[in-house]
Amino acid sequence: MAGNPKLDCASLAVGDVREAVLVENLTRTQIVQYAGASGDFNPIHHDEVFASKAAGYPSVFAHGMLTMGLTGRLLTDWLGDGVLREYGVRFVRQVWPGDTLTARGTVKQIRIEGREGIVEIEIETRNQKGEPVVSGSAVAALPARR
Amino acid sequence: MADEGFRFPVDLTAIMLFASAIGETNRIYYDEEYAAKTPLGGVIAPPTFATASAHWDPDYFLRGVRRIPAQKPRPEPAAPAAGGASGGGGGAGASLTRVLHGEQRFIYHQPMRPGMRLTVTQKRGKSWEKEGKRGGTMRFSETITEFRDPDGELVTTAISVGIVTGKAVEG
Repeated sequence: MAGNPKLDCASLAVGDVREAVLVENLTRTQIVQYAGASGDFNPIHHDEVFASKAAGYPSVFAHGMLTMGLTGRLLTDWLGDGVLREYGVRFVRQVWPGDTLTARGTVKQIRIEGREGIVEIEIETRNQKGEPVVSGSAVAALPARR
Repeated sequence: MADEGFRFPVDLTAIMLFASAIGETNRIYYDEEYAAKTPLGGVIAPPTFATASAHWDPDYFLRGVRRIPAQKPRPEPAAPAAGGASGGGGGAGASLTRVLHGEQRFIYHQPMRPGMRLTVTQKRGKSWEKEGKRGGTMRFSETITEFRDPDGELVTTAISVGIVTGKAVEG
């Protein structure tokens, strides 16, 4: 399972940071599109009346898994396709329509095991107010050196 | 919670739709000609795609209007699992408005590819309670979901934590 890495461990160092804007002004349309694609039809994510009147939220809000999916793009755009071994997040705060999300990944550890290197990345996505919405970590396997 | 699991046939169109929904333009998720020329040899699913197995989960409580009948009659309805196959158990009777997805982790054993006919099984993990300032008493429960190929080899393991809160939580 070598995947299609974009870089090797020799070109990464502990403390390296990568940032990317994931979405600007998140639309209700994208939230609905995610509901359809994922199968999560909890009305709290698409039915404004249900979300506000029945559930007491200010409006509908995005699926946590949409934010996790968006955040995953930082990892795959940076490291390559099919190289992740683990990816996990904690959902810290809701994401609302109109939010702009920026993800930041930091290299925490690089461990060379033969011709392969195991890279640990800390990841956090924040909204336009600078508040974290998800935080987590990922592990990727990259060639030690190309 | 399904014992013998349910079937999840991985499909190119489902992957493309999912990738579009998360704003992906990466051709590895839809362009078969491009993907065939990469070391992966074909299209793969994005890292969080396993969650879309919810469409095939007969016990999934957040589905829309379409119902897939359970493959075998069940003695009693399973407790709802937030996020379906990748969601944490919310506990029986939990209202849609009080179930939150707390954490999600995936372990990747091999790439998930179109054409794979996966079997999905779920089991309960740990559960615990915590007093929350914003949400009242919060009940946490972990669900472990395994996606296996027809040879029984693991493709993906999903571990999720569902939270049932006492009241609406605004972040």
